[in-house]
Amino acid sequence: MSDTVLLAHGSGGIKTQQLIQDYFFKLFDNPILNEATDSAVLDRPKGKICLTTDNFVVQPQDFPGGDIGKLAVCGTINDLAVSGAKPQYLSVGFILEEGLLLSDLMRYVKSMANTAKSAGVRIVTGDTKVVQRNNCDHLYINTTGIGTIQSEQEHISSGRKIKSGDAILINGYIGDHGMAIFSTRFPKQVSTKLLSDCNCLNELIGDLLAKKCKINFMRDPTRGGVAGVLNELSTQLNLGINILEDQLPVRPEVSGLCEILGFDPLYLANEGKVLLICPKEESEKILNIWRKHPLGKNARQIGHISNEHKGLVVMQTCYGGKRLIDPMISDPLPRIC
Amino acid sequence: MCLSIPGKILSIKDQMATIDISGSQYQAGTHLVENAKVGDLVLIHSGFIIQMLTPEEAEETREILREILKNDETSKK
Amino acid sequence: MSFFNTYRNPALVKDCLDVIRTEAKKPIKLMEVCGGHTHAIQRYGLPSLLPSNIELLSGPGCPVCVTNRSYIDQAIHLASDTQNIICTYGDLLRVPGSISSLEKVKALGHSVEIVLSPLQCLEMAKQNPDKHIVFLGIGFETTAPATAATILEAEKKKIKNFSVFSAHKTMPAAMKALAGEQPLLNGYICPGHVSSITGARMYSFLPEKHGIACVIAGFEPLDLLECILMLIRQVNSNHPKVQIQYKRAVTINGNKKAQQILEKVFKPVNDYWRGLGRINGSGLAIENRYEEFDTNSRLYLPPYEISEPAGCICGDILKGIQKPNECGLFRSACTPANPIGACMVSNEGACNAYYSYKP
Ligand code: SF4
Repeated sequence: MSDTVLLAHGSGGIKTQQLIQDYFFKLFDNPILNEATDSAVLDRPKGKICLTTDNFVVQPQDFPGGDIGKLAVCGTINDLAVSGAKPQYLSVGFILEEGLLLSDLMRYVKSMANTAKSAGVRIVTGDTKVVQRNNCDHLYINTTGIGTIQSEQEHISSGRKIKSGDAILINGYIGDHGMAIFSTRFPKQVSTKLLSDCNCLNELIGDLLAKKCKINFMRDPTRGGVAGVLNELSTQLNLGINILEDQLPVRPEVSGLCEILGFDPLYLANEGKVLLICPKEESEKILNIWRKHPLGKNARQIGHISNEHKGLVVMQTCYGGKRLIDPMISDPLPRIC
Repeated sequence: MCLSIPGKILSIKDQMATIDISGSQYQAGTHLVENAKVGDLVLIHSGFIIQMLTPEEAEETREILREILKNDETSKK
Repeated sequence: MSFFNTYRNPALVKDCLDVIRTEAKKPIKLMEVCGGHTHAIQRYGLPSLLPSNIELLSGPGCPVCVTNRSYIDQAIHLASDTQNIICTYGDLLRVPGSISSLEKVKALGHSVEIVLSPLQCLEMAKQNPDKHIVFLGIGFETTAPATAATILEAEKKKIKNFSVFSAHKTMPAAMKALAGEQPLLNGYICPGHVSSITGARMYSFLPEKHGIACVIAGFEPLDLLECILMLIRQVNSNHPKVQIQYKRAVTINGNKKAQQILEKVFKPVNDYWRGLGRINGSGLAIENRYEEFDTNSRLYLPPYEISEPAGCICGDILKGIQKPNECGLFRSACTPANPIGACMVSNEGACNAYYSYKP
């Protein structure tokens, strides 16, 4: 095979077949996919299903702690998991730029396959298109996921059971992904050992569901960060949200770079974190379960739902002062003053 | 950004210093200061070291702070 | 040494606040003139902790806020020429000009690059020999030396396709102008990093001529509280002077080498401050000897008229005469997502800080 992606790989001809056989079938290998049908034929699960889709356009495609392939699988699995669903199947759509190295493609496909496999999720159908050079940035990936959900968990994504006094928990350090990606934009100025937290959360969340923990809401704070999710929630449900500055888990590397660049970790993206809201009495149980899991070692409560300041997210500073956490306007920009 | 966390110089090459800030590294020019050397604590602004800090100065600030709080004690009484 | 334990220690903060409460007997008006201070004061929620007789005003210390609109218009004009690559600190990207912003023209495909250091411009100049790299030089004595050092590097490296469009300004000139307009001002929280370059000496005219207490402060909560306490004590004793709280970074004479570089490359000129108007000798223009690195002499810039957006009271806010919530546009027409005046754009602008941190 040639060593770069050619327009012919998307033409539907022999090169397309080769790509499908040598890359996708070989690595994503499972009986449903191997049927090579136009549509994947799936068993109908008991109860309801959840369906979610996401596009992945990350720049750079290889970043500290992961790559676009891993991200594309984790992202969609996490969207299902935080809805309270058990992720089952994924579809994958590739848009490849002519000239992309096949060895790079192979690496991303491998990383997708490995991530899906260890999360116990099957990639059952897909599509590939190739666009001319400069019409896309190496490659874009779309993944769509199907999961099954029990009726007791259906309220989780809407948050309609949230009430005043509920605890707000997170499973670990915030801002790692956003900062790891950002530091690659200024390779000569900034260097850090920080890794993206990119990981599948279905096992961490599955543990809670298996132990019948009461959960009122979950969401993954990706773009827009923790501040983004909490603001969305407070506006949609007219909730007062209180967070405690001294409880926010932030790595020193992240806070140091935040100081240089003028960023706030609350607005940085995460790819392996879940914000969870539960009745106050349930928080210890959940934290104890989480702390036994590698992705939840640094779990803690960062705030609670309040009766006051409805519709606003307010942070209590370490000194008892208060400040408003408003939603992010657009991606944070590095500042000098 | 008015960064007030001091950085520590890890190495210097061609007037550019690699500076450690809480475990991440940052490149800054030494053009604006005299005799910057490895191990020094520095303040950085817009890609340059703008001032050298000495540990004694940091220590001194803590002293002043203690003094003030002592004053408080007396003024409270 | 654990930095945070020293300067962010909640127990010490509480102690400091207690002393402030006991010692602040009469109403005191203080102004911070550094955007970094404005931001830190809001970030740590200090106004909600201080006794009500201490009033903190935000002065003109955010470089973005005092940069006049026509500068942005001219920068946009430069960006629209495909020969140029505009390099800027992130601060300036969203500042509204009279019809557009750098962010919007970037989206249209013009070359606008964010840099963390002006030295990045020189690399860019080498990599793009057929383009002209324009650096938007904004900021006070803290950032201007970085620009100056970069111009000297460019000269040394014989880089021909690089110039600086300078809107650099000097802080003491503005503090002097403000002191005249603010008869009720008791004290200045003097800028930390500006002073680390200039030294404490340059403020001496303020207590001497205007009777204003001056303390140079750092950016940590304890730095600021200690500074406020020092100012209260000066006011109580009726003996205004210049004191340094931020001893770990500021000396009487400042950073001599940086001052020399600054003087070599720049010369003072009369400059227009958004909201404050024209202040004599407050701007930094590039010396004739370095005119090959001066965008003004290298490239054509269209003439402009100075105008302010209707209804915006940024000027009065910068002077400490009004507070952001007294502006009719605040929080209604003017928000961080849709800023009308410059004070709303930068995180360190008085209106933005007020909007973000006031629950
Ligand atoms: S709120 Fe907006 S319009 Fe009003 S003074 Fe501030 S920046 Fe100007």
